[in-house]
Amino acid sequence: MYQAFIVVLEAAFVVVVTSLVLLLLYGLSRRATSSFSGRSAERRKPFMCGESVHPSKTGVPDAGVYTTIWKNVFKSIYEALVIKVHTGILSEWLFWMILFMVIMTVVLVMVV
Amino acid sequence: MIVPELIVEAFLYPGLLFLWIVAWLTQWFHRKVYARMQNRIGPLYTGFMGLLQPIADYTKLFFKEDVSIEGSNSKLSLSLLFIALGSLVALPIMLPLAPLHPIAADYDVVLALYLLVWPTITVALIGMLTPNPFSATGSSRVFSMMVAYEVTFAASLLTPITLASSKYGANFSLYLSCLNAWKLWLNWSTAPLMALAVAVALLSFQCKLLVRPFDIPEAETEIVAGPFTEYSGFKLALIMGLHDLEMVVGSLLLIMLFFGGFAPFAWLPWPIALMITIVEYLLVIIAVTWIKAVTARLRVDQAIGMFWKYVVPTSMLALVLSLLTTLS
Repeated sequence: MYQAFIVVLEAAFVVVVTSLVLLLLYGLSRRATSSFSGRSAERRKPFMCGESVHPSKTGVPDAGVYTTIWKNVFKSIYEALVIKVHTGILSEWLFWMILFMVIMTVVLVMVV
Repeated sequence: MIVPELIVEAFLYPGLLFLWIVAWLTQWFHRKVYARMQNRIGPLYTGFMGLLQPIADYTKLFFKEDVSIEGSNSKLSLSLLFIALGSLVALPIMLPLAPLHPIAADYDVVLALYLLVWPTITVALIGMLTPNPFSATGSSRVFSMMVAYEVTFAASLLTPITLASSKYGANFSLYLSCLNAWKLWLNWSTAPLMALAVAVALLSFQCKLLVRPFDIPEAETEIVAGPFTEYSGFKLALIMGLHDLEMVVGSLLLIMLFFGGFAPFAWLPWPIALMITIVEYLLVIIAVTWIKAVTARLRVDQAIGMFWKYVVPTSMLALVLSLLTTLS
C-alpha cells in the first residue's frame, strides 16, 4: 500500500515538473507575441461561419452527449433500458457514466 | 535521493526532451510514409528531405497570437493540456526505458491506465471550454467514442499483464510485465491470446489517436476542427504536441508490453538490440499510417457500433481467457 502511494506521488511529481517547463515556455511565447496580441476584437467572437449566435446558445446540452448515438446504435437495448426501465430523475448521461464505472469496476475486480 | 533522479528522467531521458525529439522524427516519418502511400512526396524543402518541417510547424505556432474567444476558459484549458502532457511524460518512466529510477510498484498498472486516459479526457474537455457548436459537437463525439475504445484498450493491455503476473510473477507491475510478457508468445496456450490482444490494442490505439477511420471528432468537412476549432498559437502547439506524444508513448507502450522492446534481444550487442527496437517502433507507426491511408472516415454511430459489437467482446474474450488460463 505504501509502495503504491509512493508511485502515485512520483508520477504526480513528474506531471508537476513537466507542467512547470511548459508554463515557462508559455510565458516565453506570450512575451514574444505581446507586441501584436489583442488588437482586434473581431477574432474573439466564436467561429460561426458568419452567423451571429449568442455564446450561451453555442453549446450542446450534456444530456444529449450520449443518448443520440446510443439510441441509434443499440435501439433495442436503449428502449429496454431507458423507455421501459426509465432512469428516473437522473440524467441519462449520468446513467451511462455509472454503467461504465460498473463495467470498469467488475473488470478490475476480476483482474486484481 | 529519488527527486534528482526523477527530475533528470522527467527533463531528459525518457522524459520531455527525449519524447519531443522522438515525436519530431516520428511525425516526419509518419508524414513521409503517408505521402508515399498517396503518391505524394511529403515534406521536402525544410531541412534535408523536409526533416525540419515539424519543427517549423511548432516554431510558427510558438510565435502566433494565442487568441482566447469570448466566454472561453483559457486558464483551465491550458492547465488541462499541461496535466495531459505531464501524464504522457510520466508513462515512459514506468517502462523499462527509465535508466535511473523507474516509477514501478505492484499493481501500478492502475496508475498507468489512469495516466493513459488523461489525454483523451483533455481533448474532450478543452472543446467543452470554448463556446462553439463545432467544439461542443467534437467533444461530445470524443466522450461517446471514449466509452468504447478506452474499455478495449485497457482490456487489451490487461491481457498480457494478467498472464505475465501469473506466469512470471510480474504482480501487475507494468515495468515487470514489459520485461516478461514477450515470453508469452513462446507458449502455445498464451500466444493466441497475445495475438487477439495485440490486434485489439492496435485498433483501439488508432481510435485513441483520432486518426482515420476514427478522426470523427475533428472531421474538418463537417465540424471544422472539432474540439480544437477555437485554439491557436501556443495552445494549438500544445494540442499538436499532445497528439504527437500520444503516438510516441502509445507505440512505445505497445512494443514494450507486447514484444518486450529490447528485452528479448538483451543477449545481442546493444546497438543491434537498439536497432531491432527502433524497427519494431517504426512497424507500429507504419501500421497506424497504413490504416489511415487505406480507410475512409466512419460515422460516429458506425465506429461505436463496431467497437461494442465486435472489438469489446473480442477484448473481453481475451481477458477472460487469460484469467481462466491463470486459474488453471
